[in-house]
Amino acid sequence: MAHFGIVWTFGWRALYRQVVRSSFATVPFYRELWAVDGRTEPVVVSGRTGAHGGAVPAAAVSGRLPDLVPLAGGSAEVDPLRGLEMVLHQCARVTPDTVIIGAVPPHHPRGLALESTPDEPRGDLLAVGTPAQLAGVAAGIPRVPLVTPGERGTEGLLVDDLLGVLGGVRDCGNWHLDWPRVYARETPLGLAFTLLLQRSPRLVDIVPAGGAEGRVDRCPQHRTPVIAA
Amino acid sequence: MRADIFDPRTDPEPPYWRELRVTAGLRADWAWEVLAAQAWGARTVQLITVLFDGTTPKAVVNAAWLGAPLHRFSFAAAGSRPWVGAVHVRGPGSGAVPGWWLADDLPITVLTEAYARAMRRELGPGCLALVLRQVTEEQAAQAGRLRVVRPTERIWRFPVHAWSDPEAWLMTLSRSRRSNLRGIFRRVRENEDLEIRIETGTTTLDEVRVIEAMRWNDDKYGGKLIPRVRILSGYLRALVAQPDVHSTSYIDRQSGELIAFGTALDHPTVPIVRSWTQRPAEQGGAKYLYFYHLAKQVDWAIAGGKQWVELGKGKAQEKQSLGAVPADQAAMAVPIRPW
Ligand SMILES: [Zn+2]
Repeated sequence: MAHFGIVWTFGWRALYRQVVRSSFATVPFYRELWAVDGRTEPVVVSGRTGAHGGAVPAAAVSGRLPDLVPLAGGSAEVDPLRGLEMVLHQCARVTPDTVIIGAVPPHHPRGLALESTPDEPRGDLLAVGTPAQLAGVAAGIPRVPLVTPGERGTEGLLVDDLLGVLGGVRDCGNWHLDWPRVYARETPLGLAFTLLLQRSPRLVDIVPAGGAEGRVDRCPQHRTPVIAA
Repeated sequence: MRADIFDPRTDPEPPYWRELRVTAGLRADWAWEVLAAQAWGARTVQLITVLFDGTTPKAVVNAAWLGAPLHRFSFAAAGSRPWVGAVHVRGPGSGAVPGWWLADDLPITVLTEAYARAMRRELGPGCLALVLRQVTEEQAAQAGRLRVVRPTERIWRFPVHAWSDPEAWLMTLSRSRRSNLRGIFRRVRENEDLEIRIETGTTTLDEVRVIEAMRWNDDKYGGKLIPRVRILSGYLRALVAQPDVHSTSYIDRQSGELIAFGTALDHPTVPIVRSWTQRPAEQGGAKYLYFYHLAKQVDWAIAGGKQWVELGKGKAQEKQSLGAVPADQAAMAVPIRPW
């Protein structure tokens, strides 16, 4: 397994660098930002390294979604729960029989709205929602809180309105990124996230609303990237 | 002739540029930071060339290096250049004005000879032809035997020098257009919900909102095969910040929404009315604002003692009914000798 780390590091980063280059070549928002200000890792205009290494606070993108669509066209809609299905399966025990309450992944067969939570929980239940939403759910029901990177504690899934679900705590207790779909990079503004597989709207090096502290490390058990304190 | 050739994306502004712009009467779209923003947002490499006689600049040319492979869906890559193609000379950011200036004593053959040679040296043997836009018949006749000339869409201009005051202009129009315009002036005057904001050299324009408004027009004119490249907000920001650019915003006071927007680039004798964009009628747009806007440009030009106002291509009927006159234009292609 010794070389596995090298493979994930290089493959993941190579994909990220490719997404940066393609975004600079085809997406108006990044064209403008990185041409004039610059960026790092990779530098796209020699000598221009930008104010925050090219990272973009989420607020700077609001109202600019049409400029995140590549020239060839595409969607300008974001899905605030993008990636939920994948990450939830990695971070919680979910079977086809599990009744998910609250944020139900699109293809999951059994779901309930938060308001219709049974008072006496029976069967295989799992509540998924923000801490405020979960406050009203009966105590016996297992739960997965959806937290923003800024309010990250020791459990749950990381969500951002723009980027969707970025990762979550797995059985090892570490904050796993949704590898290899989500890339994270340390910048002067904090962690900046990139959706490597979402073509449009293109989200590259976005610092979530409320910020995201931490550094990118590797889980000793799963050997994939995690956010460490 | 010595030639300086620049890629405004990465080359700094030459020290003589400001003075040269004044001498050559090059409008705000030739300001270096505007050229840089325009070049970053283009699908082809944009080159600025200055030709010298000794140490005196005698010619300035803006051109796109149009070649294979042409990428429909990406901006021009920094550092990579097509290996075969043609140099396309046009005004930066607008095809409605020529993309060159020549000192008084120079014939247009300077472009087909000295400039063409400089381009071939710079771009290599794959630089096969020179295409000049907005050429007059007279200029085309000077350009030697090996040339292809094709008429292009006419451009329109107001002969402001012929009008002593706005009333004199109105009197040259048809009766129906005149009374229609007077009606429009009254409508605008009495419309308390309409705010008209004219700003010169502004750094506070909400350019994102304007760009969004421009998409109303892009969607209308953009083809499926060759999409209109969306104008970068950085370009608009750099342009409207120039001290000789006037931006007019038409805003609905009730909703705060932008209904229409236009820019004019000033010039000592021939200003240009450049972009115009307005909300479609079904979204609360008002067609009469276009007439109002042009009428105000006439007022402004007469007051400023201008000779002409350039209006560019399109909307021929509307422009003609307001007293604009057409000018025939041609595109001329000249092969570049490989030696
Ligand atoms: Zn782990």
